[in-house]
Amino acid sequence: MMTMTEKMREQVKELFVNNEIKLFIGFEKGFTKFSRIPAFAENYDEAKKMIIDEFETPFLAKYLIRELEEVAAGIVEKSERVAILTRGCDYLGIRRLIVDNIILRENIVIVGIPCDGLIDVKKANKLLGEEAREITIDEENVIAKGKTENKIISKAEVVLDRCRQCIMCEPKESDIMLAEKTANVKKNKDYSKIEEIEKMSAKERYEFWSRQFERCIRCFACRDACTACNCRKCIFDITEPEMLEKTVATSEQFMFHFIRAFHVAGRCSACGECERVCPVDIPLGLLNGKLRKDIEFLFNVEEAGIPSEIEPLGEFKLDDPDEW
Amino acid sequence: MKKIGVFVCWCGLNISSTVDVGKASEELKNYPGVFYADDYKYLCSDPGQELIKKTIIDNKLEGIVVAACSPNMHESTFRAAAEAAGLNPYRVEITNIREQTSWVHSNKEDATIKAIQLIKATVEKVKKSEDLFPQQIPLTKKVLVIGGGISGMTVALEVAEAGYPVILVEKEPQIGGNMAKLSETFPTLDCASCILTPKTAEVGRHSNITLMTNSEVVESSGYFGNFTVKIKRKPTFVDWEKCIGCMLCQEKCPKKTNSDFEHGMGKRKAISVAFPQAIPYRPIINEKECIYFKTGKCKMCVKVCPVDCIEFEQLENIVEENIGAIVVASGYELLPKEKLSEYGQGKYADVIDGMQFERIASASGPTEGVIRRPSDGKIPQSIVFIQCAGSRDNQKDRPYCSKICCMYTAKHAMLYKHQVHDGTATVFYMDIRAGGKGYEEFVQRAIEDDHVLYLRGRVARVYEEDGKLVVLGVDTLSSEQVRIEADLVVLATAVIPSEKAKVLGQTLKVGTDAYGFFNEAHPKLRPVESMTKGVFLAGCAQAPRDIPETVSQATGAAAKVITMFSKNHLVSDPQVAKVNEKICVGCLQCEPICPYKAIEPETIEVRIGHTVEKRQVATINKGLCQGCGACSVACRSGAMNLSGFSNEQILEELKALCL
Repeated sequence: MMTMTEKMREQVKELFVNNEIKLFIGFEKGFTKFSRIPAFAENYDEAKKMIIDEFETPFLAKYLIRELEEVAAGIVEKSERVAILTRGCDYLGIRRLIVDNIILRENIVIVGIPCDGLIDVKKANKLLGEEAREITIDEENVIAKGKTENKIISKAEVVLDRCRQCIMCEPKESDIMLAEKTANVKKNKDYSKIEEIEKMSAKERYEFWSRQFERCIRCFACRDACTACNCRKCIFDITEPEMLEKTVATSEQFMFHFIRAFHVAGRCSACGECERVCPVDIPLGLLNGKLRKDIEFLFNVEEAGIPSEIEPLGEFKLDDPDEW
Repeated sequence: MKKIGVFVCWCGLNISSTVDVGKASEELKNYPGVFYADDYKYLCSDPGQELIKKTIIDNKLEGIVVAACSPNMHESTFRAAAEAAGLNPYRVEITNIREQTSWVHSNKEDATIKAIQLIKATVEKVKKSEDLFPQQIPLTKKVLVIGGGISGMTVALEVAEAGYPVILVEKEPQIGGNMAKLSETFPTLDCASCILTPKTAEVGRHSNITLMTNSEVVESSGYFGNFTVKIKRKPTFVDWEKCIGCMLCQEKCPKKTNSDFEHGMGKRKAISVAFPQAIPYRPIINEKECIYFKTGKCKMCVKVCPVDCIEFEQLENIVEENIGAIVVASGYELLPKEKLSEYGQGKYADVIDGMQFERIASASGPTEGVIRRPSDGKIPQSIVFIQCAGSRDNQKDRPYCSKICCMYTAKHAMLYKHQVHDGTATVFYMDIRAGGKGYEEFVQRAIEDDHVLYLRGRVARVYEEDGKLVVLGVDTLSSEQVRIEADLVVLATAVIPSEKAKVLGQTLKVGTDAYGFFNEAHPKLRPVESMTKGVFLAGCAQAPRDIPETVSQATGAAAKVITMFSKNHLVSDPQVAKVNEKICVGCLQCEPICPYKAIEPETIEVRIGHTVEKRQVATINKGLCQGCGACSVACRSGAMNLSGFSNEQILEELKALCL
């Protein structure tokens, strides 16, 4: 049976040969053995370096803005298309951009990958007790090879945090699917950590978040990685009015994260990329998760992470139960 | 830095007793940007306004803050004063140190600190104020009146008399509304038809009124001064243009059906006019009852019609009209008896509601004015009237007073006693609310002259025993249980809004309250306006009311329309949303959130460097926008901004407050 990587290469070749796409966005090996970085191919030869495996990968959907904004705006020919490797979470991000009128669906070739969750090498290293030299992944287990000993770890233990709260294991619709649906298990919604925070007193909660936000270095990685953050000019970049003091201070960090959380409230697709890219490990998923949880509860939405044309917080209704 | 003037008003003792106005103006003198600060006893007075004008001119002020009462009261006064002194009125801001400070606090020291803080925040806002200019918007001088009852007709006649065209839309085939069904009217006991029909006739013949009966408004778009409405004209199956109103068809039609107009008290033919004085006096075929529509045979009406005007194939059609203002006069209905389980839930034929009593007491009604009970046509010897049937009852979700029942119940009892002198009329009441000219005297007349028995108390149950209705209640004045055998029970059921009011509200984008009555813009000062500009309210569509009050309100609504039409164009409030196209990403999240549908996408061309970029952004229809600010909250990048309440201004205010 062909591996997904082989199948991808075959498909990419076909797409380029038939002149269907101008660009293919995928992954290639990064600078360390297990890191994967975004790769862009304008022809088949460039695409040969691309691979698909189960190591942690960055989110690709956001690159579509750069590549397709001009097409959507009508500056460049409408027929130009970009193919993109798409897992379920990427798909939600792409939907977000389409719903927000940033890009057009007709310009995208969704190359779908089913996904069981990606492997967090840091977690594997921790369990092994040293930096793994070789990691092999099979159906259920991850085998990490150390200097002297090997360790067999169950996949569930080393899966990325963001994958634990996955709400879509493969793209809901795609142009090309690289593999049959995997036997993935539907994950139960887990708001237990959020409920723990809800139980705290106001003071405890303030202290908890102060500890988290103190660490923030305001690198804006969370914003830059987020597909819901697709503004032409972010409010934090605008100098007049100055919504955020440029000083790095905890109170300003609070402002930054709260405003961002409210800006993505009802629009966050629960991909967890913000938390993954944070260099200081701020648990942003908790903040966005709280808002999703509340929206699901207050507006009777089944899954707040799935982008819809009309957002629960973005609609005017005359029969709104809340008088205005 | 702008030169800003601060004026602190004492409002007599209203403010100065709780806020140290002198201290406030002194402290503001030293605040950055404030060039002039003073306090004055009554700034809204003529000398107060003169002081403001003179100070602006003498000091060449570029913005002023008036710390006084709510901007709802005198914002326009002070803005006009500033304009007279050559300052753009939108550079005037009000700090509310009365309703929001002096009236709600008692500690003078703390209240003064709060007042000073609020004034400082407003100074910061004014520093960011810009000149704003109202825009002229065109105006269609034609009014749409929805509802052809007494209120709708009054509006139509008043506006038509002033010389403006009126479209009067009525869902029934004839105008007159509920008033046409009434027998006599309180407190004068004159015949309702006699005072109504001159009005209906005038509406029917007025050259400025286009009458659209058997029609409903189904869609509305546009804005203040420029609405486009779609009106559904339901089929009548008779060509009303050709018809001469001979009514041979009605005479010969073999099919009798229940008449809606008679509220189940009488019959009508499948082709008929509702009542003899109907305007327009044209018949309509009841599609559900007509034999031809059911079986394809009969056509008796076609045979007898001398002018060939029966058109079985008629279809509904939609007409579109451009209009400038809308008056909603959709009227009322009565709470269905079926909802009142304690009174038999509608299963006893001789438990009727007030409107049914009107029909059997009406000279043009099914009994020709003789009060007979519906079950067997017997003249009742004992009638029990039950007031507040559903009204003032939280369990029926109608906690409000229906206002007209006290009076019409007294009228019903009197009409009955005038016919059946030896009969007994008993009224169960909670309180008698007879506030109105001649009303109390009227009720007293019923009690003293006509010997109507008033029992203060509630009825627990109405049931049937041995073929007779039994009313079981309590007289709370004597604390005794009362059991009355009645031939007829009349329920003064609650007044509820017209069934279609809620849908109509959504069509017109006018809010309704929890019960479905239309919301007025201000309960005291703007009672005939809705929150949507250009849409006015009249009659029971807004709240239960009697005929004199309905007519006054309708005349008021007409005056509002006439005032609006007396200008050649309308001036829009410049405090509306605006889009910063450079920032707008065109996501249009603002579009579904706008209650007034004022936001649309637009493709613009912008030059960026050496390329011309085309992209989608949001645009505001300044006529539709009411400046609610929902879009500016929804806009993440702050591209949407509300003039006069811009993000910059509000942020500056907040910064000043949080210092």
